[in-house]
Parts: sequence; structure tokens; C-alpha cells
Amino acid sequence: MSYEIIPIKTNILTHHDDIVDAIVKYGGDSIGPHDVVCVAESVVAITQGTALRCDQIRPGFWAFAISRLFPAKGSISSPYSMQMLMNYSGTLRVMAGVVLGTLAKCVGVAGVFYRTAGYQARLIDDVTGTMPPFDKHIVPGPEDPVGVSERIKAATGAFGACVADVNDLKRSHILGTSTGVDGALVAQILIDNPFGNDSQKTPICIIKNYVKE
Amino acid sequence: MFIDLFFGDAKLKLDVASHSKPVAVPGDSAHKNFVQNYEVTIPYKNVGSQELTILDAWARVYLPDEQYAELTISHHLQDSSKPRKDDYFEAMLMPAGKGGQLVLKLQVIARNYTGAEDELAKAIAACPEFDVAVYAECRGRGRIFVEKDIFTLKLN
Repeated sequence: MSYEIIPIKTNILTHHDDIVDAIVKYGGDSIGPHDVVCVAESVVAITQGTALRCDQIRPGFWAFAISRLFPAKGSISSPYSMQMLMNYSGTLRVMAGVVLGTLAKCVGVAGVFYRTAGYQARLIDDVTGTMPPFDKHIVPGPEDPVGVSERIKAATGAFGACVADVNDLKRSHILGTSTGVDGALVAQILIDNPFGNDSQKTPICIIKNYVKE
Repeated sequence: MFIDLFFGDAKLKLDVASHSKPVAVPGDSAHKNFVQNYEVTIPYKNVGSQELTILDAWARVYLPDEQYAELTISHHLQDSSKPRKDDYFEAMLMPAGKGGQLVLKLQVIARNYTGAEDELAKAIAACPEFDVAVYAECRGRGRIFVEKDIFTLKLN
């Protein structure tokens, strides 16, 4: 089944904006009662004010030490992003993730660290991962994506809403949905990344007639 | 930190010494009698062993009124691979052993312009040498650091 997807262009949203108000302002007229409103996870986090510059983070000894265990290209390979992860998940949990991840890799199982070290482990975007003016920020995943989705649904009158983590590498993951929305189906619908190369330019997408009339 | 001893870190080297010649570039012809634009190219290289992130870069022109009050010099610094119309420096990655070029764009304005055609040229000719500092806020695998270098510029 194919779905019409409408990307909604907005101004750059910052911590001064409320994501629900922004969706109503920029996409309100395009949203119908059978639609699902999708919003990019990094923009939700930015509007929640959780994106931080390096100078706002004080990495500790373990952040310096453990970040070195990750390849330089990874988002938690810097002590600053690693400290952010430790602030969210706890240092002990991250260290446990490293131990378990290392043991699992020894027997050929990948990805255990990211499943063990907490929700933010695979969501944190390091500097340069987001468009200006947030290119100098470390952006975590959004807090309470289910609650955000429910607020969007209530404010727009849409069938539902979701917070999505989608990129151009055919990686599509739904972090939270409002009641009645099938996250796996929405992830498949968004697989071609309708948010575009830089999700801050069109951080909102509307899946038209998600439920058929 | 001791970890750096084992793994190394990124290190930025700004090469200002041999590249401080300003090149005049054409500007808006309507303002040519009192505005002159220059560009100074500053090569840099990540001479460390880890990937470098240049978070921000900026310059400071040391030409106070006490030294010379005939010109106002405004400026902005950008990377040649990321030209921009604004004064924003976009954070960028630089692999170990690789380099690039910063471009310092200077706009020189004759402050006491009265309408004479050669006024700007005379003011530039009389302008003394002055220092310019270039700063780059960087991050490798350790703490963020600021690299600074100073060079002397002569417009004429």
C-alpha cells in the first residue's frame, strides 16, 4: 500500500520553540483527521532544550577513558558525548554496557553495548551532526517521545503522531507513537527519509490518509 | 591525560608565517571609492594522530584608532571548503594528516571619506602594518582547546 507523504518546511526551530505549537503553526492546515504527523527526533530534542555545547559538559575520567574505546567516527567517541550518555544512563550502566558489549563481540554478537547502555546510546548526535546553528552542539534523543506524540495528536486533531529517527542510509526507527499508530508500519513508510538530507529544514512530515476513509 | 600518550590526539597547525599577503578582490563597484575588499589565505593541517573537529574559528584585527584612525576594517573568517555569505563558521571535521585553508575576508572602509577618488588609496597606502590573530576552537579525542596564531599584515 502506498501513502502520500507531505514534508512541511519550517523556520529553524530552537529551544525557544515548542514543537507542538510549531507543528500547528506550519502544518496545521495540511493535517486531517486520518493523517499521522511525524516529527524528526533531533528537532524534538532541540526544542526540549537538551542539546548542549561541549563547554556546557564536564567530562569525567571515565568519559575520557571509555570514549577512547569507540571508533572516531562514532557519536560517542568524544569524552563530551560520552559524558552526556553517562549523565542520562549512569556511569555504571555505560561501563556495564562496555563490558557486556566487549564479551558479546568476542563471540560474534554485535550491538550489545547499544542495547545495554540505555535509550540515549544510539541516539546521541555528536557535533557536526546537525545543521547550523546546532552544528556545535551534542544533540541527545528526545525525552518522552510518546508523550510528545500524544500532545501533537491532541493539538492537531490528527489520527496520530510519532517521533522518528530516519536517515538517508535507509535507517528508520520510531521512538514513540500516540495510541493507535503502528510504529513498524510508519518506520517502513518513512524508509526513504521524506525529511530530506537535513531534517531541520523539513522536520515535520504528514502521512496522508494513514487510516483510509 | 595519560590516554593521549597511548592513542595520541588531534592537533591543529595554522600556517600563518608565509601566507600573510592580502589579495585585493573586487567588491561592489558603487562603493569602490571608499571600500576595498581583501582576502588572506591561511593554510592549516591536522598534524595529530586523531580526527580533528574545528568547532569555531574567528579572527581579531589589531588596528586600534590609537594607531590609525583613517580606516575601519571589518572581517570574517571562513573555511574555503564551506563558503558562506554570513559571518558563521560551520563546525567541520578534518582527518588526521589532512588540511585545508581558512580565508580571512577583510573589508576596508575609508572612515573619513569626503568624495575624492583617491582618498581610499591614500588611506591604505598610509596604513601601517598591523597584527591579526586567528583563533580556532578545536576538539580531538580529549578536551576542547583553542589554537591561536598571530601574523602581521600590510595592506599596501
